[in-house]
Amino acid sequence: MNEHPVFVPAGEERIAAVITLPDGVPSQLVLLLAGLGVRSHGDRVWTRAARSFAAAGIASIRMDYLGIGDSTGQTHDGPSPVDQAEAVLRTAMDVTGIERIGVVGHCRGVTTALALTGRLDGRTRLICIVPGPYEVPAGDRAGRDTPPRRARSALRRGAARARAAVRGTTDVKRWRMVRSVPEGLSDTDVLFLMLSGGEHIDALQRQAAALTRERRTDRATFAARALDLRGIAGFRVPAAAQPQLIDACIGWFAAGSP
Amino acid sequence: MSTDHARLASLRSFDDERLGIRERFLAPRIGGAGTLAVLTTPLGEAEKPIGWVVCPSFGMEHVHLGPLEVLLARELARRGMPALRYHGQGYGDSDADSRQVSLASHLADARSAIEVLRAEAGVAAVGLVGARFGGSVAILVAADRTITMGAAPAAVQAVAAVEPVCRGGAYLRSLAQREAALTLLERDDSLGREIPAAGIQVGGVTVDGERAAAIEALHLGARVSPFAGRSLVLQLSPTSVPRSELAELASLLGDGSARAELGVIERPDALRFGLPRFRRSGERKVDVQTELTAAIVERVGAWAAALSAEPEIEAPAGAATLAGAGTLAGAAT
Repeated sequence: MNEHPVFVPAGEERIAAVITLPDGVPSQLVLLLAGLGVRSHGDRVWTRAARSFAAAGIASIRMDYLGIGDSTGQTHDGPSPVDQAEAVLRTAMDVTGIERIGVVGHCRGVTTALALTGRLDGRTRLICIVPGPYEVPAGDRAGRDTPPRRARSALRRGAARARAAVRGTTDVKRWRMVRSVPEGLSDTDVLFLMLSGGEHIDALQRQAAALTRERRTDRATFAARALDLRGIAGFRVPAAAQPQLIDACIGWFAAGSP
Repeated sequence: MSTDHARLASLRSFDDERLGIRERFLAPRIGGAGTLAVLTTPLGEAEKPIGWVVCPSFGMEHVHLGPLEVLLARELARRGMPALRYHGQGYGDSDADSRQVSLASHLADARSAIEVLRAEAGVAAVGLVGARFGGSVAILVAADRTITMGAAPAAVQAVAAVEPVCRGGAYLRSLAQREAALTLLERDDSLGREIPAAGIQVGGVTVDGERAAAIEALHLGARVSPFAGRSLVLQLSPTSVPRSELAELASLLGDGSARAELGVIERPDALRFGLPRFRRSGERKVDVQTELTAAIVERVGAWAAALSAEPEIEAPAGAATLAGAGTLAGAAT
């Protein structure tokens, strides 16, 4: 495995990225997209993913958006996240000569990935990582006083607010990511990969099947599956959850190889 | 399909004519393993009197303070001084596992980074700069009289510490509380859960019992000896009143002389320092600590520039001067 850090030009700014190449001939190139965070992503999941991908013969690139990490510029100015991701991917394609492309998006990186995939030529495989449902315990656990009562109360209030804020994205019946699949998406195989699905996976699979039927003419397919990471991964993907997630990603991309 | 290695090499660095700096990716060994680093240097061939190593902070602060570290490095280079920042072992693009992160690993990383800076930038004199835990690491590497690394304090000529962590126990507890709040949002068995004695998770880093104990035992004031070089301890607070622990730290570092300076940046948003800094705005993020960061960068940059402009720094007997740039073996052993 070889890692090549690069500064990708984006107007007057530079997007910092790391291209990871396997020792042999890579089967494909996968762009790893965090929400708007650093290239290694929270808990270093993209760093580990890139190295595991390389061991499986898959090249990858991970990036810092402008104003983040080692990139220059500002987060609120300059090219859009989709334009940045496209600049990074096309540079990586030019440099490596790899034309078979995959994309993984997590958090808001899913929105970027969906929009980016619509701009690409050739058949593309895309993974949209979906956080599991949030379940904050009810008052029956309040008798355990390990955080002091005042801190516990503050935590519970914060949790309630956060739960309300994310309900729109974790309730798959009103799930924005599915609704935001662009109409022009074609030649793409999309996998919605839920970190801890529970009963929600059935609804997500039904939506994926419906999307496939609706978009049959433009050759886009949609699938959904859940990982068994309940209690381990929510929005974030801690180290304990990463092997299962990374294996699932490698499996999806390997299945699309000729 | 073939990789264009010449183009890959050309993309490893770029010149920013607006700032008059060059940034170059390095892949050095730091802390005993591979990692990535960025060397920021002034454009041109001007003399580089002193170079700076930016010591990263701990756990999730590694991310939250990252933008400050990047801007600090660029400001120092803009003012004519090379600066090296790096991913410490267990973080970002480094090779080591996150479970290996500890106070000792941070200290080892910083010591290695000094040598990398000397080799890559050709500077003789080195300063260390860091914020929060990174500030404590910078001070310890320069002036730790307990010598935990089996070697004398590193030969550095200046230290700038922004809000250094003086008490490791309180610091670790504050990180653990933040982690508990985050965990509560994601797991269904969190409320009422005790922090396990075996260790805690703090922002992607697992700190086991032994490593947690080492950080909890950190009492900067008890470990630091007078520092022969120049030092800046920078306090951020809503009021201009110096905090006693930082005043004592500065006094200790300077041994009562003017070699150490306590600066105070008075801002109402100072209490957010080290906390998450981005707010969502449409499809983008907005940095809510831009002004606070700019104030810190300007203050540290001006202090370092004044330092580098001095022909020679007066140092105690047995210690090297900035111009001489030898070792400081007599300063803190």
